[in-house]
Amino acid sequence: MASPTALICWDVADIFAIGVQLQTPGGEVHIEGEELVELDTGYAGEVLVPWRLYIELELYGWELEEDLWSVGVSVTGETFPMPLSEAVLRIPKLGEAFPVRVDTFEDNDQFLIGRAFIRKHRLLFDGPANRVCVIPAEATIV
Amino acid sequence: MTTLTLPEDLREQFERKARELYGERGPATALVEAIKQWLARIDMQAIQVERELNNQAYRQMKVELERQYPGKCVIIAHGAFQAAADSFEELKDVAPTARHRLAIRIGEVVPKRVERLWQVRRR
Repeated sequence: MASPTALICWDVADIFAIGVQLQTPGGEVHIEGEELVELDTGYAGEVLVPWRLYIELELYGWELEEDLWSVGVSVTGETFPMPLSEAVLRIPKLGEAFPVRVDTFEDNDQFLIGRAFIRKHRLLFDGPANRVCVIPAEATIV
Repeated sequence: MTTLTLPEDLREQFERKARELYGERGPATALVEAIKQWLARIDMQAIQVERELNNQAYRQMKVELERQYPGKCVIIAHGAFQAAADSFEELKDVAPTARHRLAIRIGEVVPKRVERLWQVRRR
């Protein structure tokens, strides 16, 4: 019989989040260690970063052409361009790094992980326990 | 040291508002904040100029890059092709004086999205 696989988990309250570290393709990281970032199934992209972080990490030095940027629509119907850049999302507890595309827009203060990232990973939302876990790729769910 | 004289009415209005918001050190605090914002805006304008230049250059050379570097990562900076490699990591030191760079994976299809960001707060 296969032995149970340990889950990598984060204790969270109110939001569902995992601990990540954003890195530029050049190797600069946004924080030592990890920051809890909310998983948001209402956002279709991979990672939405705060404008301040986009500037601080100089992610405009890893930008995709403007023709590929998404268009953001606010609750009031206002539209705005969303600069798109290459980056790497590290999950220190997992010891893994994933190439991602990050969106932002001027004055954005939200840091979110969206559906395009979630769809590539196996995540457990344990509501009653206030935990989010990553299920290792090798684990079997029966 | 920079010394300047503001028009009287502007100085009075500025000092009054700044003290209302930040207390006795208000004028100095507000001035430092204003200068930081101005510097950030100037930096963004310079980035935008290079961004437009790089995007224009890429549109012109796109077909040629697709022919020469299929599947490669390339950097466009200073309005010109700079280098190609198998990964972006290898290109980190390319065009170090550029304020803006385009990082393109040649031939990759990236779907353009419309994001309805209901919970987003714009300042």
